[in-house]
Formats: sequence, C-alpha cells, structure tokens
Amino acid sequence: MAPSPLARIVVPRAVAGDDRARLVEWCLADCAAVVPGTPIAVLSSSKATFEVEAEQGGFLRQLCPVDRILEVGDPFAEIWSSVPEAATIAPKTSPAADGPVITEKARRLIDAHHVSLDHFRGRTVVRAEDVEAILHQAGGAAAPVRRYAGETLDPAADWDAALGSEEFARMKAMLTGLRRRMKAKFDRHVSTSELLGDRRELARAHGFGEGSSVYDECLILGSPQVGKHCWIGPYTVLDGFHAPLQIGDYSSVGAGSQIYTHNTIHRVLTGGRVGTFSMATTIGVRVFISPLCVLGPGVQIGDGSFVATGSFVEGRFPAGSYLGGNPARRLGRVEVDGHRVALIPE
Amino acid sequence: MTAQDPPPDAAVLALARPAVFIRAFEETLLQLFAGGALAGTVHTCLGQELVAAALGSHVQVDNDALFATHRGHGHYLATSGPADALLAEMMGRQGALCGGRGGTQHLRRGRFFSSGVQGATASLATGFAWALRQKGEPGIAIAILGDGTLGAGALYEALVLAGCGDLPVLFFLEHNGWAMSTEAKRVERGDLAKRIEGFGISFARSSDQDPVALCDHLGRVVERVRAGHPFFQVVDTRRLGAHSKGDDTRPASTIETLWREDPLSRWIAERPSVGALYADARVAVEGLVRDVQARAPLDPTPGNAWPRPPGELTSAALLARPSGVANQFMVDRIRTALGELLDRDRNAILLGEDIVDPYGGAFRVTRGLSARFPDRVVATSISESAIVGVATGLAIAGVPALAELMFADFATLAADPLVNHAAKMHYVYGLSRCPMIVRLPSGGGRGYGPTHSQSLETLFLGVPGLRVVSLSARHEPAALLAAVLAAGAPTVLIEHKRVYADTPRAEPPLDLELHDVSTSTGDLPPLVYLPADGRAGDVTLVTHGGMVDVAEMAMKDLLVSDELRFEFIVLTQLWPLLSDEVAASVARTGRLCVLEETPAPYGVGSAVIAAVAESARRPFAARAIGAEPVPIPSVRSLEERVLPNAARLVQTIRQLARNSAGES
Repeated sequence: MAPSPLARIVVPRAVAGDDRARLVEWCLADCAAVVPGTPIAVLSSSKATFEVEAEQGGFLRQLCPVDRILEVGDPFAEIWSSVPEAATIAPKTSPAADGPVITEKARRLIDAHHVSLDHFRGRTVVRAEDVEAILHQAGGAAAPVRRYAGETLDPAADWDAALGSEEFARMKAMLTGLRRRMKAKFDRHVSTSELLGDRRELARAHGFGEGSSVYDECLILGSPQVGKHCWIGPYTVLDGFHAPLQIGDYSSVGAGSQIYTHNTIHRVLTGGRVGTFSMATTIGVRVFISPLCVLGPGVQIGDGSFVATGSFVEGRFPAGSYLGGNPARRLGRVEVDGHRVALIPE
Repeated sequence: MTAQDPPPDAAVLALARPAVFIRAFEETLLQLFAGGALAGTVHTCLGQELVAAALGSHVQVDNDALFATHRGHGHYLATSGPADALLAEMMGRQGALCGGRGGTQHLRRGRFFSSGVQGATASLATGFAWALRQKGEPGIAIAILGDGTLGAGALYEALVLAGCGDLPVLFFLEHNGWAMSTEAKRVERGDLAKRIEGFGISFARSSDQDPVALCDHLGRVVERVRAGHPFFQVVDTRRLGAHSKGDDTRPASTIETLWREDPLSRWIAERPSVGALYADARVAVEGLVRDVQARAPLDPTPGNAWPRPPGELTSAALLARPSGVANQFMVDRIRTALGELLDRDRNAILLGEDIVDPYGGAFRVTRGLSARFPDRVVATSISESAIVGVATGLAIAGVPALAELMFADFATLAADPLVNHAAKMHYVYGLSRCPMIVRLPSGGGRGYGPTHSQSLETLFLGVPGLRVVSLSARHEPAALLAAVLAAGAPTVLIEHKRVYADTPRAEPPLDLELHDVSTSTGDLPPLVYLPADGRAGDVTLVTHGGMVDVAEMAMKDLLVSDELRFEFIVLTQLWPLLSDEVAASVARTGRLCVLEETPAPYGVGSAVIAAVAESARRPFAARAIGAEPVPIPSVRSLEERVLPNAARLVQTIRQLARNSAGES
C-alpha cells in the first residue's frame, strides 16, 4: 500500500475570504516536527493575512514554494508520521527556474546546435537572433554541450554512483523478481513497465469493454470507446482525444498500429493559418488490424474486415473488406462461414 | 410683538433695505429677460426676499458657508454679494461673478455657492461644516433648500451624516408651497417635524408673516448651530413669480392670494419709509443695468475644466517601488499610502462604509487606519451620495477628502455629487483646488456577479472637470495618490480588485524598459515601456489597472511563441485622455491593441483608437478588447467567458501582427 500522510493541509475558504491566497511564508522548515496547534504557514488573500495551524502533530512536508498563489481548497502541506517518510515521498514542487525566457525559435536553435546557456547569463530574454549571433561568433561550431532538463551535464562527473546505491540494488532485485515471475507463470519477457501492471486491469481502468486488454506501451489519447474482448497490442496509438474513436467488440489492434482522429498536416504546411484537422474514426466489430498499420482520421471500417500488415488506411470501407497497401485499397472480401475464414481477392 | 404694536422702524428698515433691493433687482431681471437681454433662464425669489434678508443678517460672510439653490439671487444679495457682478454674470459682461460660466443658478463668491441641482448641496454643506470643525475654524454651513427638495433622497443621506456627526450645519428650508408646477401638498405626507427629528436633528417651523420676529428667531437658531449642532429650520413663505420665467400655471386666484399675503408688499404699501427705500432701489438697479450693459462682453474662450497646478510630474515618479518584506500585496501599499496622506495632512479625512476596524473595509484596504486616526477615519451609513457630497464639501473647504465606495458599482448612487457638483468646482465656481479622491473597487474575476463586478469608469469619462485615474500594480499608490491630490481636481480612482491581490510590479515587463514621460498640467502621465534594445516594437499594447497582468501574461506568451516586440503603455489617467505617447508609438509599430474590462465599443479603447487615428499620418491596424457586452455573470465558468483573458488577447494580437499596417 502506498504510504499516505497523516493529514493534508488545504487553503481554508472561511479565513481567506477570497478564492485565492498567496503563501507568504513558512513558519516551519520542511520536515520540521509539528506540534498540534502551531502555525505552519502565513497566507495572504486580498482580504486577509492569516496563519494556518496544524491540527495534527507529526512532520511537515512543504508542497509548494513561498509566493505561490493557491486556490481555496488546494493542499499546500502535509503532515507525515516520521521524517524519512516526509523527506522521501513525492518530489517537492520546485520554484520556477530563474533563467532567461527563451523563445521557441531560440530554443530550437539552441537544441539543434547544442549551444550552452552560459552564453546568455544575465539576460532576461533569449531570441533566435541572440542564438544566431552566438553561432555566428563561433563560426557555426559552438562547443557541444550535453544538457538535460535545462541543466548542463558534465560528462566527467561520477554518473555511476547511482548504480552502486542501495536503492538501485533493491530496485533491481525487485525487478528481477518480477521478471522471474513473468517467465515462470507466462513464459515471456515484457518491458519493465508491463511488469508492474496487468493489461486487463489497465483496459478496465480506461473503460474498455469486458474481457479487453491493452498493453502499457499503448499511447491512449482521450477516451477511445473500445468494445468487449478486444486486444490492443504493444506500441500502439489510440487517439480518442480529437474526435470520437470507436472500436467494436472482438476487434484486434496489432503491435505498432496507430489509429488517429486528427492530423496537423494543413496546420503545419500553412504555418498555423489552418487549424488541426479532426474527424471521428470507427472500427467495426470483429475487425483484425494487423501489426504496423496506420489509420487516419475519419476512417470507417465495417464489421468483420481484415487490414493487412503495413497498411496506411484512409476513407470508408464496407463490412467484410479485405484491405491492404499504402494507400490501402480494397483487395477483396472476407468470407466467414462458421469456423472457416477466406480472403477472396477481387 | 403684536399687530397693534408695530416693530420699531430700525428693525424693519434693516430687513427691508436688502429685501426691496432684491425685489427691484429681480423685477428688473424679468424685464431684461422679456427684452432678450438675458439668455437661458432666471429663477426669481419674489415674495421670499424677507426670508433671505432675515437669514442673511445672521450670516458671517467670511466664516460661514452658504449653499443656495437655483433661486439664490436673494441669498447672494442678502449676504453682501455685489449686484453688478451677478448682473454681469447673467448678461455675459466683464466683471461677471463666475466668468459667465454659472449664470443665474451657479454662483460663487467666497464661501457662497448656489447650484441648479438640489439635494446633494445638503451633503456639501455637511462636509463643509465638518471641515470647519476639523480645522478648528469658526463658522457654520448653511444648506438652503426648497420644499421640492423634500422629495430628494440625497437630502436624507446628508441628514444621517450631519446628525451622526453632530455637525454645525443649518438646513434652511424655504417652503413656498410649490415645486415648479407641483403643489407641495400633493407630494408631502406625514409630519415634517417628526420626519426630521427622526434623524436626531432639532427642528423648527416658522412663518415669514412677522419678518422681524422671524429674524429674531433665526438669530437664536444660528447661535445654536454655532454652538456646534445641526438644525433644520423651515420657513413658510411664498413664491409670487413663476418657477423660472413665464412658466406659471397656477390659477390666477392663487397668485392673487399670495400677493395679498406677501409681507414685503404690505410693508411697501403701508410703510412710507419702506416705500421710499423701494423707490430708491429701483433707481439704483436702473443705474446698475446701465453700468453693466455698457461693459464689454466676456471673452468667449472656453478655458480649462481642470485646474492646472504648476510643476512637472514624471511617470518614473509614479512607479511601484521594489517589494519590501512588510508590503507584499498592492492592498498593503494602498493602505500605506492612505496612512501617509493622513499623516502628512493633519486635516485629511477618510470616509466610507465599513472602513473602520476591526472590519477595515470590504477589501481590508483601510484596516488598522482607524486605530491610528480615530477621528479622521470615519465609517458612514450606507449613503453613497452623501459620502461623495460630504467629500466634496470637505475638499472645497480645503480638507483633502478620501472617500471609499465599497464597490464601483455603487458609484451610480453617487453620480450626482460627482458629476453635477465636484466636477464643476474649478470651471464654474473658480476654485483652484478640490482635493478629493473617490476610490472605486472595480472589476470582476471574483464571482461577485452583475452588481459587484462592473468596470464603470466609462460612466465618468467625458465629464469635464472630473479626473479618472486607474491604479495598476505598476503604480506606487502613495505616489499616485499624492500626485492626484496635488493636481487638485476631484478624482475618481479606479482600483481593480485584481490589483489588490497582485504584488507591486517594480521591474519592467520582460524585454522592456521605462521610457520616462512627463506632464506639467496636473495630468498624470502614462507608464510607457519600450523595447530595451531600442528597436521599434511590432505592436503597441495599451491597457490600464487590473488588465495589466493579463496584458503581461499575453506579452510573455507572444514573445516566446512569436518573438513579438511590444511597446507597452499603461494608462494612468483615463480622462482627460493623454494619447500623445500612444500615437507616437503607433507611428512606429503600425499596430494598436487596447485591452480593458469594459465592453469595448464604448470603452477607453475606442477613445484611444479614435485619438490616435486623428493624429496618425499613416494607416494602422487596431483592435479594442473588452468584456462581452452582457452583465457580468456570477458563475466562474460564465464569468471567465465574459471577461477578457490572456488567451483571447494572444489570439487577437497574433491576428493583428499578421496584418501589415492598415489591413484589418
């Protein structure tokens, strides 16, 4: 069971007298021991400045930095039963980095040319032209810099320390245990994330029909309506975000297949003058989509159809269609007679 | 005294002398009017002259303030106002009392004021009386009323404040029985004495049938007021003439009866000494008319509606100072500013509803101030009209008045004293200073709904003589308030409620730097921010008050996504409109966007765009963004749709930026 705090402290409406309040200061340090009734933080709304007290004793976990504007009801602190819990659970929201504002164009150039942010120290804004000036000075060959999440990384630092840590050893032992279980019970190897969950549980969590399953590696956008007894393979995309996506009962989406309800072709080609294109996509019941297919927005595939591997599908196809190719064409029809299935070319 | 024992001639003559002059003067006015020598209108007090004379005999002209009505010639003349200046005022000749700006019903000499709108003058008198007491000066204030004013709610608001403040103000009601064409008894019910005494104010009702006895009585009344208490005196009298010129619709028999009851006519007919005075007065007035008619006409230059104090004001001086520890929010800075003003001027008064501790105002702006200044931070009844009327009275008496209306929406209730009284103090009444600020917590975003969320500044834009100023988180309240008071014009201060919860914005917005602007006319310069690299901007963005944070969010987004350069102008003063800096900027950018929270078609934005268009030498593209034209809804999701937001601004500016100048 996931550890949980003894108490969660929220912005009280009664005292704030307004919908928002600013966290003015913490009265106690992060992880400090809290005695019931002691003030934890000073908050200030447009109407009042007030202290919020702990009703419960324990150890304080600060959830946000000073000056953060909070809505009434927002949790901003937690009380935990011990310091290690308070200190290790959930990374603290960090205050916004104080670096310069970098425009999107500038960011693309910086990334493309591995330009160090040190060049822009002291600046409030970095535009494309500023990056170009740096590139120009460097004759187009700025020293390559490795960065991650805005931080410049030193290749010579001791990056292997994490591998020697106790946490790493525990984590590795746990994963190995789960892999052994997977092999022993199901005789297969799956990705690490798949070790931690269950495909059917995940499908239920997303409201898919009874008996359906979906791999953790599936990118699910929005709320696709997936019927009963469907199989959604690994490395798939189900886009139910931009328009409704329906997949009928007993259908199957092969590994690596992607079903879309939108594209940004016109938006990109017109430089934003035209918006995103979106349209509902509907897959009937008993449709087999082979691995590595791409179905565009607006596709409708009738019941009992078969899509061959590597197809790129656009348009509408009646029930019992046998499709394939790029662009996909109707190659024939599917005939099902009891247990017998036939793909009959036309 | 009885009818058999007539009053001694000296007492009669003392009253008759000014009264017959008033009568001769006004009879002549009617002739002049009939002859076309007077324009507009004229309201005579024929039949009421002895009441004016009786009251006037107790007025200390240098100490007492008198607020008369549209029927004010008698009071003016009875308190030693020069007749030639009054006649010149009405005839438009040199030496006119108010430069021809006031005419018959808007007169001022020293502490004598008259006004063509009734009701709020009772508040002005109350405020003046408060100022006198505050400054420890001798004198009282007198509000002259007519019976028609008994129907005006503003009167009763003034009575609440005068009664609760126990202020030396005399409400002097001349009951002539007719409000224009409406007979008083049609619109008066109940016992007037009980009505007035219900405010805790002493009341007396007298007749002018025995003028000398009336004069004695008024002497005692005035002494009582001088002792420091309000009093309400009614004198039953009559109006012999029309309401104004020839608009008398009363039956002839009624008018005949009134003439028979007129004590001055009786004195003229029955007392040779008075008859002689009257004859002399007519001759004197004839001479006066010849003298004034011979004078040169007034210079028809319109002049300035706002006082223009010397000295320069720079926008840099108005900038928010960097944040200290103690003053985290703008609301704290405003509180500090008010405290500083009260500290600096030991007479300044802060008044409004619920502003004293422990409540400290609906937005806590004044919290703690009543503890520091118990006599000068005063919570009033729910009386917006009187709050502003009293503030006006304080200000014209030289006491800086800081009035808070709980919500800007309530300013509609205080529009009359602002528009018809305070706004006229400089131009019409010739006062160089009327240091008053009416603070209006404005705007939406808090779910308070249709009557507590409006941005009503547009109601006051275009009223000459009023200054409309908008506080933003980029302004330092102390500097702004001090500058407003120094400028001396009555000022409506728009305080958007979003600003209260904002922190002072001392650093210029991203990529911009202040381009200092100065004014030397009492106007408050805008805050102009231009690209720090000295290059021209792509778009000129103009806003004010609570929309500053929305504008700055959008500017940051557009900088990051589109690398747009802005020239950003935060208007300090919305009216009179200062558009030169905006026009100069649009000449560089060719694109103008104005953001505000009022519905755009009739907002500040339209005025800014029009002003820029008038001076522009080349075409430019423009957009005005404001709230949807619906009452502000309460529910948050609805309110968010109605009020302008950063996303809409981003979209609009992006569109604007795609246009080359002149396209739209």
